[in-house]
Amino acid sequence: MNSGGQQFALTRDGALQLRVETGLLPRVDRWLPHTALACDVGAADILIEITSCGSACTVSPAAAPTLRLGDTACTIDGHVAVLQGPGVAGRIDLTGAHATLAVAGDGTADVMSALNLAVALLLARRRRYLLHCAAVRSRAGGAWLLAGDARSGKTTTSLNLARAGWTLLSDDHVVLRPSGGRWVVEGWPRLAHPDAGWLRGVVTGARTELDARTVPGVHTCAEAPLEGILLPRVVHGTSTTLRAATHADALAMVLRQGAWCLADDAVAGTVFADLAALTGAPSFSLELAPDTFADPQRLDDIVGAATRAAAARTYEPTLARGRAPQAVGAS
Amino acid sequence: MKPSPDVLVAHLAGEAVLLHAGTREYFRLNETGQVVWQMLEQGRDEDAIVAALIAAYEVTDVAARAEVQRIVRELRAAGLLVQE
Repeated sequence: MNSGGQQFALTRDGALQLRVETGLLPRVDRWLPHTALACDVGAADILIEITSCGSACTVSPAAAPTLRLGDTACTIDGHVAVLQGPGVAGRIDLTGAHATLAVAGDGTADVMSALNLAVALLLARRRRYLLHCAAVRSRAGGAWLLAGDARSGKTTTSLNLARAGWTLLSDDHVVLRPSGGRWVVEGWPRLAHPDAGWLRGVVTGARTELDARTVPGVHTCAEAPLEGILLPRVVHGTSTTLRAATHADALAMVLRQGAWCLADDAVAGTVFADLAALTGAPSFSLELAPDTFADPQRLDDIVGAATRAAAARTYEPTLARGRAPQAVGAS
Repeated sequence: MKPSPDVLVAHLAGEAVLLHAGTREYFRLNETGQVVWQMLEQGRDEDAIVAALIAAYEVTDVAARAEVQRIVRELRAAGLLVQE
């Protein structure tokens, strides 16, 4: 095991850590969540190591890929997963909670996809779920997940609600974990990519890059207990609308945004049961029209009333564990 | 026919979400589909499922049977049902 380089605690409790070989930090810098904290180099409960492999990073998986993320293929065979992507090759020991990602030194490596897959698979073994969702904390203190496909409005909605007085957890990735009978949402914020005209209230169709922490009026926090789920979608209407979504609407969307968590057969049953349980939170479909793009207060008015009412219904999230083909979450 | 052991099921209020653990595809069943699936889980045959639908909904035997046969064909084609 390489003992050099820098090490970061990725989760709040330090259970998941990332060790980066000296000189490779620029390769992973953009992937590192802003909440990652430098820590002592050493053993960790779950450890991912980034090492250099020169220019030829290859592995030879024994079977067809189990899943793909971008150009990165992941093959899971029992308790070992093998990753192969552009300029990166990795081996994940799912039982031993250790991954090694070998990265080409020529700067072409797609480290983002490999890291996301490694994190998702390792955490899923510990009943923690990396989801491609944004999240904001309401004034009542609960976290609202924003689950939607690419370009559904997750970033704009989370940033606008943050400007209107909510608190930003993340605009792109979160980790959910069970704690004391509830689900806790941990934000993994990175640089955000809203529309280039967002701050001016003008839709340009082009993306820009910004650090949400530098936007006036935006406050951030690290984690909050799950309170509800918003399912944003950009529409061509004139007025933004919010309506109650079904449990199945929420579960289906969260399955799409956390598909990597389900790739490991050893825990797929538990993962599915947990996602079914946590999506029992109050859920709303949020159809985003241009009226709220430039008006955070209007968005707050629309979303705030419904979410306050939902929070007042004393929602008590429950955890249910199931194994295939046992039915779970029976109503 | 019976549910494939590869299928994970979440029975929700008036709907069910099915995930095929092999293909990672998910499916949604509406209320009626959920009733059919639950009866298949219980090992009930076509006649029993048709009778249940006739009792619960305003539907004729012929129409209910045609719908049950259709949804069973779709579930089987999706790999969600296997031969007993």
